[in-house]
Amino acid sequence: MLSLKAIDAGYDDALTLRGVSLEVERGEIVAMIGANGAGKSTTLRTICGFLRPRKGAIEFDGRTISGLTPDRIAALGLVHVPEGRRVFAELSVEENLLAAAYLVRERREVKRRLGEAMAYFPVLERRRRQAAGTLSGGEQQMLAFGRALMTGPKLLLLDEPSLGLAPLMVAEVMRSVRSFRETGVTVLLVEQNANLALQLADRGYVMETGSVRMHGSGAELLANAHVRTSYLGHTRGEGDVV
Amino acid sequence: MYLAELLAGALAIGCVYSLVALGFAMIMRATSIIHFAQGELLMLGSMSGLSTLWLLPKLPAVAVLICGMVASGILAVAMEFLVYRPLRLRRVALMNVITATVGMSILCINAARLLWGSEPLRYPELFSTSAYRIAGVPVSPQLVWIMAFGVVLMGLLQLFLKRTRTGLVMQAVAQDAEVAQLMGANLTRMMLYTFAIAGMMAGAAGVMFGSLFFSFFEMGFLLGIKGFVAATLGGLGSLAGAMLGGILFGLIETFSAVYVSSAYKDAIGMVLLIAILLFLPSGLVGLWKARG
Ligand SMILES: Nc1ncnc2c1ncn2[C@@H]1O[C@H](COP(=O)(O)OP(=O)(O)OP(=O)(O)O)[C@@H](O)[C@H]1O
Ligand SMILES: [Mg+2]
Repeated sequence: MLSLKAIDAGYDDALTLRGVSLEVERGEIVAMIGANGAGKSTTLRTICGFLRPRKGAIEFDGRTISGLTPDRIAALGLVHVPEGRRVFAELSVEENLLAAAYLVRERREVKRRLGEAMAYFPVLERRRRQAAGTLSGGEQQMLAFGRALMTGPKLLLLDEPSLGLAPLMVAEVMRSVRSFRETGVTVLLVEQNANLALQLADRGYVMETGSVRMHGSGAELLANAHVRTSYLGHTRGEGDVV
Repeated sequence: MYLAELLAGALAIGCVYSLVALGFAMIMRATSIIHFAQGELLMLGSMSGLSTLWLLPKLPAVAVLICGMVASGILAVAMEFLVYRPLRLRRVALMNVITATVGMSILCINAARLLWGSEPLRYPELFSTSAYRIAGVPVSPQLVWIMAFGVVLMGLLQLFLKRTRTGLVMQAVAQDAEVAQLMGANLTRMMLYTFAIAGMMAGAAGVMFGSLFFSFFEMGFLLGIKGFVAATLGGLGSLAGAMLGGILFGLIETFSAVYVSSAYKDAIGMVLLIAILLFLPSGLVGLWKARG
């Protein structure tokens, strides 16, 4: 469904990504783990069109998307939920959701999706008229998810959705990720919390200094010696909340 | 009775400032540019309205207003599309883009002098000249209509921004353009809408001011600055603040001219601007937020 072929990309003069290749099949949850600054967010920003690859090609649903603007890529159903939630703080919860359905033509369909998103995340229904900036971190994450659902995504790119959340909320976020897949949405999940991510994912990629160091099934990576020492050592035990 | 007329005059001119201030605020929010050609959009709207009246003397006031709005709206879109957007795409520093808006303003002033000459031009009477009586108090119909136009336009803008998805997305773009883009918003188009609306507000203000006083190729300079003061008074970048700031500024200016001295009318506005920047940098909205 999504494939990156030997992507080079970066900011200004620096080359941050070197020869990144990865595949996401329809219906999968794929995790991407790696240390701070490894290039995970940069990979997602390149896929969604904020950065243009210097080399290589990105294909989504059988067409080349590298070079398209982010709004065109979003319109194809490839939707990026960026790091840090970034809700529209001055708009209400409902307005955030409605703004996200900008590309949906029919009013009835917008209504339907609004109902769906609120059924998915009941907290959004309760906070409907509240300014998004006044929500708690966890609620903002739910809103960021709800907003992404309003666009009618086929593939979601989630950048550290559990960052800064309390354990209970982290579990909630992971439940949501799993249920996205159940409703037919494919997920590429970037996480610092390698243990959680790999338990949830079908497959995973490990990024180190701008390249893919290794990839494999979630179970394989969890058992891998390098992954265990580099990424699981200090997070052991946190996976229990799922 | 005198007081009622004075108040009506203050509110009418306040509406003019509010409309200019709204344009400043919308452009500021969406692009971080202080659009110094906003006053010239007002002037060109005023001139366009007047010219349509020359061609079609029987045109009703609303139609003249719309003509002024359309002309300024188109001009604003042209400025954005032909000048500011290319500058942004080349990643020119914000300060330089703002300087370019001053350049656009001077260009407009010169073009207007060529087209309309350098004499102040009077608008024909757009409204009935016999006074309306409101609660027994006679008020000039002109002032009543100008207030009505101002209030209706601001109300329509609020409805558009709050009740349509395009309006919501424009607000979303102003808050986080990147994320709005991830939801499918086409930034180029949203910026054009923003400039179109800011231009239309200025054009309406131009027709309103012209019908109250006169049209003049240099009128945009001072009116633009006053609109900017109003926007700053409200809290730059806040739409509600801009509207409030305009009305308040109209009141301050009118009453200080009467009770202090009309010779210092324009200077008072500038003193006010410096005072706000010194003591109330985030404007009335900042005051409100600090309390709430
Ligand atoms: N806007 C930017 N301009 C220049 N360099 C950047 C920018 N954003 C990120 N970088 C650099 O690119 C590299 C990769 O950053 P990236 O954000 O992709 O890492 P990450 O894997 O997402 O890390 P984290 O887990 O901390 O979010 C870092 O060295 C970072 O300094
Ligand atoms: Mg990151």
